[in-house]
Amino acid sequence: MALLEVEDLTVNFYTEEGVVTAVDDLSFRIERGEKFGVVGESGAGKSVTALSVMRLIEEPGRIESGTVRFDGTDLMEMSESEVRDVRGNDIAMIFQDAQTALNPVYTVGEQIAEAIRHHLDYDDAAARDRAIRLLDDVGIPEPAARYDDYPHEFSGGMQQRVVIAMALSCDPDLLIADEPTTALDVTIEAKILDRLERLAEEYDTAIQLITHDLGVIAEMCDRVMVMYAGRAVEKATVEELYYDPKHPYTVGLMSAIPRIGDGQDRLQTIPGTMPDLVEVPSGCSFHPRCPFAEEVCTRKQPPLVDPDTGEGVGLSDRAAACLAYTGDLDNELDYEVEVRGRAEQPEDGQPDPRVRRPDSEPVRTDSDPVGLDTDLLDQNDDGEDDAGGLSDG
Amino acid sequence: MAKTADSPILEIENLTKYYESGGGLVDTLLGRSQEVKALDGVDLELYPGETLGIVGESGCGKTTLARSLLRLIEPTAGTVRYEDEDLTAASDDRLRALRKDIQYIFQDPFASLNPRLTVGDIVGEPLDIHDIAEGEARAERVSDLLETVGLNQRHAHRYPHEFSGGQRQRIGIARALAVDPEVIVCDEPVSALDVSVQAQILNLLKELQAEFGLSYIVIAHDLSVVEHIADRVGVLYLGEFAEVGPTEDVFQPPYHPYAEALLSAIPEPDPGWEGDRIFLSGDVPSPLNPPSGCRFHTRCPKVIQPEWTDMAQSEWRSLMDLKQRLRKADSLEAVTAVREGLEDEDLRQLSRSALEARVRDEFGLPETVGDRKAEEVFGTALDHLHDGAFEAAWTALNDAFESPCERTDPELFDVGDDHRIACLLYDDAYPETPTRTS
Repeated sequence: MALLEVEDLTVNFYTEEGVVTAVDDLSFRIERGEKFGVVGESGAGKSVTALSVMRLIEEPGRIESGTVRFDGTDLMEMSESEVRDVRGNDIAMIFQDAQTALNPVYTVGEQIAEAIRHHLDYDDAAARDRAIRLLDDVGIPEPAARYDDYPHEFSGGMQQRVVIAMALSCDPDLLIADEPTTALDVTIEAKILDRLERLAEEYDTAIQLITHDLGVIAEMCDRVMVMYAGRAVEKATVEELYYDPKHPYTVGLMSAIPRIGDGQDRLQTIPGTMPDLVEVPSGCSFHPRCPFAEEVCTRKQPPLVDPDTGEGVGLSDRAAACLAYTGDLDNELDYEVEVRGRAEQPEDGQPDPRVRRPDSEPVRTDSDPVGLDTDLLDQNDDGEDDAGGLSDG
Repeated sequence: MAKTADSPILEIENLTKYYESGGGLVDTLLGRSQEVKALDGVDLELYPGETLGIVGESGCGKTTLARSLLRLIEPTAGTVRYEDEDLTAASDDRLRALRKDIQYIFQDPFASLNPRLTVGDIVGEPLDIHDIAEGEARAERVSDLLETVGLNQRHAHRYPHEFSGGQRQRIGIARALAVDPEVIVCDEPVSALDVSVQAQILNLLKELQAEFGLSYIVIAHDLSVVEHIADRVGVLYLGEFAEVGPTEDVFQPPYHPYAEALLSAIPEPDPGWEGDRIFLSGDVPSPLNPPSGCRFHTRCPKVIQPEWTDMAQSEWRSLMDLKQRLRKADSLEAVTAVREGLEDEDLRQLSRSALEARVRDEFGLPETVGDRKAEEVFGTALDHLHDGAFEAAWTALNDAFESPCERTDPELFDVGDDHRIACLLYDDAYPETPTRTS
């Protein structure tokens, strides 16, 4: 039994513009101690998924259907007070913006100690001791002295460390981290991710890492789910996803990242933007941006299937939601994934610190998967599509 | 486009911006206010048709540089020459006219467009201000501009809220192009955008540069973005340039230690990547009171050892960290590692050897430091610490362990063609420093 099993989760938001299906029939599982990545652009439904797992969806949102089994128990069936015990104790969450996650009028130490006293029934002195120990664990220098500091006396990176300490304070089984390092500088990000990874190992905590940054996923995660417009479009292990992506959206994302040292002058792009969830395109929601879209894609919603067999997969590891794998397309997805040799050595012979393994050159697509004509975008005449056609010269 | 032999279109010399910090009226009257040295004497040139990237962590002065060179904020000192005219000396009227040639694209596409104007008026406003076009001609120019940046002329009658982030950034670009500028300063043009849209905008900027012969100054915290778009790169640290050079050279050795650390920290979108991360100690120090000498010495993994020492660089870095910590310390908690289950312990009661173990633990020092003399100094400092004499402990360390990097503010040394690094490692006066070979 997996630690977390989410099945057929659907979340709607009832807004003035209409019903927004932020998460649509989503299923995934996270094993004990596993690091599970959720990647996608804004509006893909990543954060709503995380909040639903914690049952933190508020008006006008509603969890319409689905089960969230944590350790075999369905969180959806629990009473509010039972769920509150699970939060913090068994499942903890880190948000992107540390500043708003901390209470400005309590000292950072007190905020951590409070959680420890509440969930673990420690007395004051023991809670304080554990809080100082945690501050030290997350890499705050002089933890005993900084215990009595207020959040505003900490830098952004330090604040995020405090939030991590707070999340780990009750030794949770699952840590949901929603863009934990997006607001931070790369130097700080690297330190915090490194620390998070080591602590997760030490505390045997599973991590659900939500991010838009494929670099962070590659570094931290074991398995990944790619989301688009509220649905999972691909699930795979990190190696499979980066070296052998199966969904055109994943391929597009991979080729749109500027990579250092690839010598490319132009970036490949995905035309357009994530659709407005009030009006999700019919059929496959990616079809207006997909270079391989055919007429059938506008009608038929692709199921998540095993890309090799074309059969349904349930909660299994490898899946992609594209009609190419159900035999509905006339043509093949003709992108090629090329795993190139090692980047050339700098001429002066000094070793490049960013050495890659010879077999691990980033995925590259041979054909331009984005040679899409603007006409396709113009049929959607409401101006909500970014007119990316021009950028594919 | 590569750098040409032409004379620079923009020449910035000794640009400096200090902000007054803290203190109200009383502090000012008593002369107690402090200065935040956001930008401290920066020189740079921008050549026609080139893209100059500026990178650095937050708080390094990137945005201050961008804004003060356009005089969106008044610089404290320095000159900005545009085609032989000094912007910093220009009258308000003249400055307004000059801004026809130098335009600005803002980071936040949601905050930089007036929500009550239609897109047509946003893009048309510079045309009105500079009396470039009216009536029919204005409408025509606006729809041309929208088409240039990949929007539809039908969009002219809509309001900003109807557009996505990427489209808004396109509107911002169209507005900047309206006056037919020579130079565009782009402050984090893509950091608010999703990956797929970011690529579209970066490509658009490149196309426009080729079409109109624009010169860009691009500010970004994301080094991979800068590597893609820039011909030359400047790495800022605490208001000063640490390294300046052609993009390929900056992204390859020889490095400034700061640039090297920045580069190594980028998460690589490749699960098989096995590079070594360089972790810097601490955060960016406050620009209120920047470190003496080389401003990076408080975090630099390669900080130079004194001539008399010979130990592993990591041990030296740890001793420097201990010294820095002691400068402000007034309790033993500050310099010792935390042990579990000892909440009420009084560190002053620890035996000297127990204290020593805890201090070594906190700073990752081995049982004996590789250099015998350095080990002796460390021992003396510990004796003082054990006696509770913090200042004496600091003095002992400070007298013995002084890096040249603390004393000397390095100038930008030439290390290659047009490639300069502000680091004493590249100064010929320190040829045999141990770090140079490591």
